[in-house]
Amino acid sequence: MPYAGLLLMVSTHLHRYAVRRDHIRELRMVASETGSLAKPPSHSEHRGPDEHRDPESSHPEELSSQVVMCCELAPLLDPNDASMSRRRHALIVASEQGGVVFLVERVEEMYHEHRVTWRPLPALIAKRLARAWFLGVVLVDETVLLVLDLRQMARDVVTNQGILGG
Amino acid sequence: MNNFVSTDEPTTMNQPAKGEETATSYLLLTIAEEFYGVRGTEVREVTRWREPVRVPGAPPVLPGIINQRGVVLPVVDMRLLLGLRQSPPERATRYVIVRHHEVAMALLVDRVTDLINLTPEELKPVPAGLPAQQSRFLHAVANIDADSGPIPMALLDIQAIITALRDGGS
Repeated sequence: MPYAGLLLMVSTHLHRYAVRRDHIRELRMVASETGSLAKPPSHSEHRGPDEHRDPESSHPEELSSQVVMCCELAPLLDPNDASMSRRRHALIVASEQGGVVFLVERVEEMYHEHRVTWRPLPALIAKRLARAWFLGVVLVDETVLLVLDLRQMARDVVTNQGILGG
Repeated sequence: MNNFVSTDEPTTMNQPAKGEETATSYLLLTIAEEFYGVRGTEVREVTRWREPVRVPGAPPVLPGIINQRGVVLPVVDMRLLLGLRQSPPERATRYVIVRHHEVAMALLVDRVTDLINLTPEELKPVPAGLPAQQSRFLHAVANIDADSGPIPMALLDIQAIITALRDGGS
């Protein structure tokens, strides 16, 4: 599915994925392991490496009442992908039932200088997937990244919480 | 006519050139110590193994995708497809990039050995005694000459593989 808008590269402990920026209602930083979220950085702060950010220096606030679920993104896609980091970025995605928060280790924009090429998932694989969670593939400087359909994932985790165990 | 690219020097197996005007070329490869062949006209390239990008939710026989010169290809684990024991990749592990009509894929095999020519007379029907998990992906068998004597090889039916993967019958 061609998409000319901004893509984000999200990293878990083991993998990297691409997501559409317009699928994310809000992007915040996790301030603690209790699920409270810090205020989001400004748009310019999303650019580049984020090691300089200190979530503890932010002003934590409780999860919005509009958020119905908060889960780690990584184990939904790979049960062996457990994060070792206490720092989290929260991707808040809208669904019909409310906001769903996916926690990841790191978020970066894909810079314009990256040569990003969209490709569909090969049909042989796309038709055999357990869930339709992928919009396709992007080639970023020869690296293959799966493009996650966060909206579909949000719908599925809300309606199948027990199955996914997020 | 060889229309595939390989980074390896194939080992010679003393296969005499027989009836080259009617012969069909086959890429000779091994999967779990057994010899298999793929029509040379269906082989586009042979490349070294590298870690595929896993696609969550895909069946084990499709362990991921690779980028081969800007084309995203599904990887097919031939051991699993043929009902054989899975094995970790080694130095000799290769992807055989095949294309049949509009479908391209990377077959994960243990080793690529040679390119040989087979005449129609050398092709024999698939023995009835073979396990169905293997025989349904074969279109013929043949013997190849080696220093140690004739070696049986099975010729893969790429269309049957595509159909099984597409229909979920693998």
